[in-house]
Amino acid sequence: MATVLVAEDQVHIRHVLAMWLQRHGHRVIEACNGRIALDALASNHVDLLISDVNMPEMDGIELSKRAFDACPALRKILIVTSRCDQQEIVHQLDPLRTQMFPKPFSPSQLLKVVDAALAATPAPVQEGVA
Amino acid sequence: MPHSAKTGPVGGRSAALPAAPAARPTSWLTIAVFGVAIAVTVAFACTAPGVALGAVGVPAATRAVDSQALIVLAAGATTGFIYLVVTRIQQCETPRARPEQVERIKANCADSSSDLLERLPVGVVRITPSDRISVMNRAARRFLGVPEQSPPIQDLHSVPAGALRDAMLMLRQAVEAAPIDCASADRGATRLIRVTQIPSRDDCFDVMLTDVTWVKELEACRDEYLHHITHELRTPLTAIQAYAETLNQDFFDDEETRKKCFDVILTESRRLSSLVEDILSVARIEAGAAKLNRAPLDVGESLRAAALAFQAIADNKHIELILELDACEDSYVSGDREKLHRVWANLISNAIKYTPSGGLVTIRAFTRRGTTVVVEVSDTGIGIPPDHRERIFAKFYRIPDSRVEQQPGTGLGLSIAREIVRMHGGTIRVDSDASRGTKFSVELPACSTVGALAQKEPSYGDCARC
Repeated sequence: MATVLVAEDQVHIRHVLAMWLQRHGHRVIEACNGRIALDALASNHVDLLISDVNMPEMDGIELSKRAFDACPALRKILIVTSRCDQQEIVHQLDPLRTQMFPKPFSPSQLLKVVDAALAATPAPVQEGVA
Repeated sequence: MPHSAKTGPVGGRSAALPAAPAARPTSWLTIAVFGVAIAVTVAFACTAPGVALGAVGVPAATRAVDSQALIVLAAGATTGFIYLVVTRIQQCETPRARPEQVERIKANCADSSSDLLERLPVGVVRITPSDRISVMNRAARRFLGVPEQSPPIQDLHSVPAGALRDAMLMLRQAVEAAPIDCASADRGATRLIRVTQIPSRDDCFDVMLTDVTWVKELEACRDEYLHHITHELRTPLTAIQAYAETLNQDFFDDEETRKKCFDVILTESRRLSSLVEDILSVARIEAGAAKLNRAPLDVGESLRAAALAFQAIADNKHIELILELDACEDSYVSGDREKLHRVWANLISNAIKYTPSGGLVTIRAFTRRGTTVVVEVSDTGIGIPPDHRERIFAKFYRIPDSRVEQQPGTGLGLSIAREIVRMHGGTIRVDSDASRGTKFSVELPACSTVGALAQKEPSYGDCARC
């Protein structure tokens, strides 16, 4: 089980993602824009960030650039977008820790990508734990 | 001046010259002598042919036959004489160009062609097999970066180095056959110049330089528009696909979840349908194909109908809808009922959307000086930031404000509303303040019911003045 932050301004898409992630056993935090998502990253232990690109207040690209500094526990970012210029988006992001996923998407396929991303980047071992 | 080593027409055929006569015309003296001879012959033939023939020693036995032949001969000669006279008269009417006139005409044609070439907005360059420049018009000099006061460019190697010269060389060497687009600095601005080879009839290499900067800008606008459309279409599709897959799963089979899935699929399908219709509307308007179905329209009645359609939504959000229509009683516009309803619906919908619960939306209409009907839709909402006020009429533009859920709305409503108002000969503007809310004002020409029926339906092009 992991903590997943879903940053998406379209309420229906955000809810269906949350529904599937929770059904799959993950804890979900929802944010309707980039600024709220960044605040949530700073105040929560988040393992995975799923973010849209076009959001008010702060878009997904800006959020991704700041996310790892705001939340050191963050392991991976999934950018889910319907924009055509995905290659241009990829160039602005950290390729090792950021992955693109196109819209429209299949929730079950996205869940597989979430599981693979979490498995590929194990959680850091906490200091002092035996 | 064209840079040509030769005088005469440049880059084209000579102009047509007046046709010179094929042979020397028959002189009047010759015609006169011939005429006298014919007259004498006719006189003998008609008066005493026998005497004439006897005088020249023709035997009596053959005089009768020969006299008839003489008459026929005289008639034929008369006909020939008449033909010569008519032909000579026609030759006198046809102007014959003297050699000096021909040269002057040739020179005038050359000047006309050269002047036309200089005035062409397209650059033309002609390069001979020996690398000399026989033609380079003003536009070509400008595109190639040749200073205006510079002496004529005589050969290819004197052409300023750069992408354009390289492109001409590549085309000339047949390295590249398709037109080549190159950036060129023209009077401080960067332009995109297309270099195209012109098929030549001789050994010279002809090339055309065309400014295609506007083409690229148009392509960029088109690409941006397609980018927006794709994004907008994929958004409801994402919800539809995700919720449809959710319905397919056993672990989401509780009644509440299933109902929510169906509701979202239905809502997003309708949104997608509205979006497609709006995209088509925009395309029709921009192509000039949208027509108005005009008739005398009672503005007050039209606004009441639009407000009624949104009463339930306003009630759900605890927003009060106020109608102030007393001042526009019997106010008519010559309008398309359906299209204007769309305008009112868009303004009322936005007012409700951007007003918090407990707020007010006021719909007011009045007639100004009997010539203009003014419709104002005001709200006590969150207002529009100053730097967004003009952009809100742009296609797919939405104010990025998280106080408003990014909900249904195609992003095209205000763009279409503005075009509809313009088609009616009206104007639309917005005033907004974060502390007071927003007011949209639509002004339309008022009309009498009689006048409206007589008014012709404008085309989209008529609204250029709006």
